[in-house]
Amino acid sequence: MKRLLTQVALVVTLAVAGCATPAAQLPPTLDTLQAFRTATFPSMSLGTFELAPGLPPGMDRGLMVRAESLRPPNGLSFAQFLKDTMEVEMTAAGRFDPASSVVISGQLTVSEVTTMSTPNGALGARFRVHRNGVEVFNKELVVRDSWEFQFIGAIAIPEAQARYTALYSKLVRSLVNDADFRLAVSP
Amino acid sequence: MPNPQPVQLLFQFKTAGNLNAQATKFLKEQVSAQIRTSGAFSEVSEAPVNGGAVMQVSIDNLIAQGAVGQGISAGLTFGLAGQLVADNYEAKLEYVSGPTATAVTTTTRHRLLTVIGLHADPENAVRVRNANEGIKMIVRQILDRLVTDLTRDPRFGASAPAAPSSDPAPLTPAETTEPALAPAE
Repeated sequence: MKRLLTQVALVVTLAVAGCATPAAQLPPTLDTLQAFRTATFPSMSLGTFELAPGLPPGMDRGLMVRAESLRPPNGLSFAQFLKDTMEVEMTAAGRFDPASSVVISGQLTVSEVTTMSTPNGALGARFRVHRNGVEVFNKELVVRDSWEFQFIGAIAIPEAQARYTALYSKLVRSLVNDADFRLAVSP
Repeated sequence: MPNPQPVQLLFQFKTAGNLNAQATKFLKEQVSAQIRTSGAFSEVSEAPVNGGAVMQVSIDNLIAQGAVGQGISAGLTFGLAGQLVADNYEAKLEYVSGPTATAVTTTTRHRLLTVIGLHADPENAVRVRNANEGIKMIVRQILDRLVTDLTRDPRFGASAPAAPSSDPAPLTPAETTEPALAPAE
């Protein structure tokens, strides 16, 4: 009996381990690109992006969507994914310069998704901007999305993963459109 | 085109409104190459270009109501209950000639039909070997339509129409005149 239970546990473990999906790398979007271009943004660089202090480390490495695990596309962390998304958008807008003295850094504060009842997701980060080493901006921004409930997992899980992943672009756009951020980084 | 300008190209393929990264990657080079050879632009780049023109092309594969049920029905009867499944596509091209310019938008729709099991071929359809070939043909025709409509829009920087591509698509809506037929694999 014990041997049978061990075998069942092994099968379940392998099955769950096999259900890990990497999140999609996000391409730049016209909305964010235009948001960058309609304001007087300088070229900026990116500093450290990490999980906010006090939060469980696992939150940065994976997210359960029903029985399936969603992993960051770079295999590292969701905070790094946020940084990568920012770099993609800033590069497309011509506003990324690794040598710039205006440095944006971030701490992941919210990362959640559910497919039950009212499916929804949320993503948040505390962004800081330093200009020549002096902090000129410090603010937490959170973006959310919700969608229709789907019973069938084959539909509900990819939908939730795609909606959650899209929040990274939405959070970057939220920062670029933030009035305090625009004021802080304007030349 | 008398005075084509460079353009920065952004492309997204979506499924039911959500980004489909795998399909975006699969089609990105085809989209870029086709726009490059359209004659409407002097240069097509992923990076910002002189003048600041940007064009975003998005193609959304809409999921038809009941599509899952059709597949289950065909599968449970080992194909005896044949099905004709339609994949509908909505495409949008947005073009801005500069940082403060108003966007010019063109749209179109297309359809990919797939026969599952025993089912007669639809009329007025072009048969293709497989789904990959089908989607490539759909995208090629969509782009021909979008770019042609853009170059005919008086708000587009240069007013002359683009030179036709090497394999032009019909200019009437493809969903009614030339839907693709991809047999089940």
